[in-house]
Amino acid sequence: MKKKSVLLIFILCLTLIITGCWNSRELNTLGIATVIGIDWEDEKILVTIEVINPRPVKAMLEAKPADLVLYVQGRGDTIFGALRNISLKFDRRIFVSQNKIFIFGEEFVKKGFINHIDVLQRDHESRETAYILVAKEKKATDIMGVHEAVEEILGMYMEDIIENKKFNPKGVDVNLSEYLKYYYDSGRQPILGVVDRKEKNAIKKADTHEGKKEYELVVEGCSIFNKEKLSGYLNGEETRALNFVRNEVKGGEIEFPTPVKNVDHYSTPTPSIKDSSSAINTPNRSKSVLEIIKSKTKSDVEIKNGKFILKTKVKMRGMLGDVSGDIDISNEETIKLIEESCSKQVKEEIENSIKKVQKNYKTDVFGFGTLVHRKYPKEWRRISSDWNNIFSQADVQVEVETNIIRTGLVNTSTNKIKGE
Amino acid sequence: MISKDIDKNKERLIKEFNNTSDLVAYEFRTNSNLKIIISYLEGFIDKNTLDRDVLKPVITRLESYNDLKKIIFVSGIKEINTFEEIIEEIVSGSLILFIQGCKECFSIDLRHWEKRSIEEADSEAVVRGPKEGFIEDISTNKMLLRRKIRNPNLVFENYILGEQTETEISVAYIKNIVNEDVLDKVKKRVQDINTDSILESGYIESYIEDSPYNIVSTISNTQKPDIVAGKILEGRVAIFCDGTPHALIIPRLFIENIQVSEDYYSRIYIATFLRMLRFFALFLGILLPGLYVALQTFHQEMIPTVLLITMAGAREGVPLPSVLEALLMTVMLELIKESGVRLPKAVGSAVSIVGALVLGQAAVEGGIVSAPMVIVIAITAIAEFAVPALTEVMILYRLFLIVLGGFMGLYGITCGLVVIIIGAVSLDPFGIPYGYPIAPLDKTGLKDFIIRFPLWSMKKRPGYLVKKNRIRQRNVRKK
Amino acid sequence: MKDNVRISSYQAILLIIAFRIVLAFSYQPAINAPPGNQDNWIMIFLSTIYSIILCVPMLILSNKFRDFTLIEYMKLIYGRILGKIIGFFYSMVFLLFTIIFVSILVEILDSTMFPETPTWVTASMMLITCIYISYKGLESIGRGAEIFVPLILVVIAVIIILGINVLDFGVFLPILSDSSFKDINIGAIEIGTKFVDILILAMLAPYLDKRENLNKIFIKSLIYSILIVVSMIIVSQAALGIEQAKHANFPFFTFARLINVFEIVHRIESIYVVAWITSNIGKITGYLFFTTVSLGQTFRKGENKVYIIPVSIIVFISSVLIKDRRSILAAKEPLNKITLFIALTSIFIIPMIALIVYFFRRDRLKDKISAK
Repeated sequence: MKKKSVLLIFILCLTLIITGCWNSRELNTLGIATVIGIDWEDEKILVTIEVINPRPVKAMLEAKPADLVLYVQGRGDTIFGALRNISLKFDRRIFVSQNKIFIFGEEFVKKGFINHIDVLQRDHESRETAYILVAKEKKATDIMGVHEAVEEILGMYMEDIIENKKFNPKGVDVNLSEYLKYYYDSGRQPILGVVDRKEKNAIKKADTHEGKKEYELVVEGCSIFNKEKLSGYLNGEETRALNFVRNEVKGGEIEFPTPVKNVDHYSTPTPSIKDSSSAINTPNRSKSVLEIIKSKTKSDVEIKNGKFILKTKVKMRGMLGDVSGDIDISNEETIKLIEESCSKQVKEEIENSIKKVQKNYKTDVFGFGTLVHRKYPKEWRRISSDWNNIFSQADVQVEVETNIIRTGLVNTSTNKIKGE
Repeated sequence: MISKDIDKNKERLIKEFNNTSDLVAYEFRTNSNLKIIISYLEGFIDKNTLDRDVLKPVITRLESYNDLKKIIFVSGIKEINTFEEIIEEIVSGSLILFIQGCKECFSIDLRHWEKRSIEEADSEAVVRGPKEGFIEDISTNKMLLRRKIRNPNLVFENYILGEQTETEISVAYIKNIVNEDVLDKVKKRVQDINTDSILESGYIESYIEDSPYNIVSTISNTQKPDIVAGKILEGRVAIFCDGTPHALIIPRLFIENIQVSEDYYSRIYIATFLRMLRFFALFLGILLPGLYVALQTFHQEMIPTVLLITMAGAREGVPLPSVLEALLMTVMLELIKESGVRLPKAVGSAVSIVGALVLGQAAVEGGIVSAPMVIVIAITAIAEFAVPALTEVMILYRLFLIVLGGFMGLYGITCGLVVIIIGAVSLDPFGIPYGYPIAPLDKTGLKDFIIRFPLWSMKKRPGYLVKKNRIRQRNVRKK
Repeated sequence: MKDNVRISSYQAILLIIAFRIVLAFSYQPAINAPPGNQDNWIMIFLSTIYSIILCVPMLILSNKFRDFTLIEYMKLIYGRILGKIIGFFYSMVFLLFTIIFVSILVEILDSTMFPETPTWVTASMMLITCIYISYKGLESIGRGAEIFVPLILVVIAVIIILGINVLDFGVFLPILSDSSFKDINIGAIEIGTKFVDILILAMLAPYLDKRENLNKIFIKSLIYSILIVVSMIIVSQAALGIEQAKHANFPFFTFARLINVFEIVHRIESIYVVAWITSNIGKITGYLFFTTVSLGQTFRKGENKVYIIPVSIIVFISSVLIKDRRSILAAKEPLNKITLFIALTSIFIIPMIALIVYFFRRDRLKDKISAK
């Protein structure tokens, strides 16, 4: 009995191994996709894929950037169909697990893209961590094929510039999973990143072809949604304000007008706080820069007399990065002035941004609805379906507090001679 | 029974030994005209002593056989009177002395034969610690062990095994520490051996081990007396076999494969680090090629993009599937190793040059195998050398996992690994669980697991091994 | 099974924990159970109370009959014929669970790793492994648990720690305001009845080296496993949001896919899959093994090893038949109902009746206990 069963198992093992490897895919049968662009074209979905064209290491080092990748396209009624149809034209199986970026053409986004992207979540190969970008007023195909970075492969450098958000919060890094999380959340509307192709100012490089336009890609700003509907775009500063409210600012810089009041602690007594406000209000073209080291936002909502008040409190810690103007910063009071000026700048940005969204787009991308849900769960049940309207009429209160904790290597701005 | 007529005895002896030419039967008369025959096997005895301390007094002073012990200056003299005993004594190297008209004969122990001097054990080189190794002679080996443990509790029990070879076997243990269950099992199984020959301790191993079909070996062997001493002090049993420098130690648990005697001689941090390293090497040696194949053919998403692009580039134009590539390279590696081992040193280096050139360079440049695969196999080979005790096991498991990894990816590897580990922990060599001290868990044993605690903190002997007398030391470094 | 087989309390606890976390590891039924919102973790904690209440009769019986397995004491209590029927019923319960687990495993494997591989290949691979372990016996299963379960727990912990930056615990606010008391209790009962692993504990009981620790083992394994399950559910919900977690078939797996630490540690869900496969091997082996043990004890014929191959062939055929027709996870509703019914009868109703019968036949049964 035992011998027989051992034999049986052995034979079973053997047949398993001999009958082959169903899912094994050798690397040289795969087309590794790094960017997938999706467009709507002639009532069909057009999928454009950037595929890596692998070469032995030596050849890779010598190859021109354009040779490292290939672009393949497929059309179909669904993304899945379009992806499969590529196999009729391209010899390798498209492998999307390494895909970094989805670029959606604007038309595709406007035509209810949420109905089509189920496959991106359902398919086990596709990754939820791939970033999604909306091609602003363009098609995905316009974006793909632009090479203006050290990294030759579009997917890799797009990923890098999206992740630069931590130095410059004027963009957003939203991936598929995050988008869906907010899509399902009635208290917060989703946003997506934006990519735009811009013409470069002509630079005369020795090997630049004459007459050929040079392009570069920019991921500044974001697109905001009401559920799946594209409501509009925010520019870089507004996106930064959005990031402030969503507590997603990790770093970055704030440019603000330098307070003009000349503070010279050798002669004049220190200005009173009353003066300082007038000092900041004086129109001035010279700007200073604060580099954010840490920023924390606390948002809150309150119902007063049946009206919602949206409150946001930002606390920033930063380092003076650049000071221009007639100012000596080696003075406690001056630093206070600068801090106030900076706070005012951020406060205005945030207020303007929220007001713009309230007025023009009527969609709560800031997530105040979630706060209402937490604070007033009973009311929320009643108003959640109508929240976007209530949001657009709510009052806004913004408080910003800045602390300058480092001032750099010099104490007085470059253009000022000390003691004058 | 021997006869009073010593000529008859001589005839019978020669007949018993089938006229063999190395049997010496030397006949002479003493000054008192007693006829005497001495018999021995050529080369087994010390001729100087024979001439000086036996022949000279016997010839000059022997008058009757009663005086024999008074005049011979040799310690080992026995009176024997059967031919079975005589034969036994002769083959074990004694001299037999017949005296005319005497019903008994004398066996005089003059054993002395050519043997290798004690040298460094070549297969178990150490940087720190005793360098001496066992030799082929069992009594020297016993002496080496006794020198480490000068204690009447150290017991050797002798057995003669092998119908033809009559090999001397000695079971060594420490009376008040040894695990009685293990000892009883060992003794019983040794006594039960019924074979014609024992030429090396490996023979004994295969007769007494618990699960002969398991890939994992449950009996270890060593050439070094300090290792044997350390092991039997933990309650184990050692078996010496005449004619081989390899002593057996019973039982062998998994953890012993990554322990090295030097761990105990060096400081704890480096010892712990090295153990972790060996553990890691063990996993690399078993898993790496299989894992590589699995990742490359099933789970490309796990490989970082940049590396994947490089790997994809390296695989362009390689004709074989990854599984076959890995199998081929593994077999080639073993081939190079195997052909190098038994060759004279000069030719051996030639083999490795050919191997390195052919496998490393030409195969990659010719596009037969991909360069990352060569790197993987090379790492595996290095990892294999870091755990010499498990080399044979690692090779087989590696091939097994390559096949599974190429067939079902990580799923196959997981199943394979589960089978390997369950197969190992299910072993109970001589009643001691192989996976001790982690499966089953034992806290005293954990002090000498991957992290080696200071020697003074290992107050108790390992739990499952030592049942009685468990306290190793007490009250040290405690104030 | 040999009588001298012994497993320690530690091994038993690890085994039960492993069996318990497999579900949370794969398709996390608790996320979709009522109330189905941010309060699910409270519901799961509450379910321990229901689990304990449900398991009390069986625990009392196992404590009274310390030398007997579930099957053996059922036979003693109910008499020979009825006892045999009940023993057979329990064997079938084990068998059914084995089949369900194999089917779920194959489904998840095929949808996450091997979409083109035929069902029978994945299933037979798993069963061969399980058969091998079953042949090695209970002691090896216990020792295997000592090696693998801590590793699995480490993998879970590592995944949770690595994924900490995608977690947003804000989703759990407001607490207890969106769900009614009734919803939470319904969910808790539903989850509480899922503790079928008490059957395994009742089968293990006579082989424990310290039999008086049975209650301790039960409570410890229940609490530890609930803690692990809750942490996994909290993490999945925090990472995906309440709604997306409900959408996902395998929420913890989806969570593991989101992990990305410094661009180096990412796409590590295959490690999760490895840990998950290992825990499944454990669970399937456990149920397969105890199917054979209970068959052996029901019919008192031969050792359990005789039944291993036939039972696994049945498991193989039925799981392949099921899998080639239906997606078992898509058919969650009927499956849940069947398992709920079976779990209730096998955990609660039969032992409850047995307990009542025991109280009436106490004296006679006591002789039988001491006779062994």
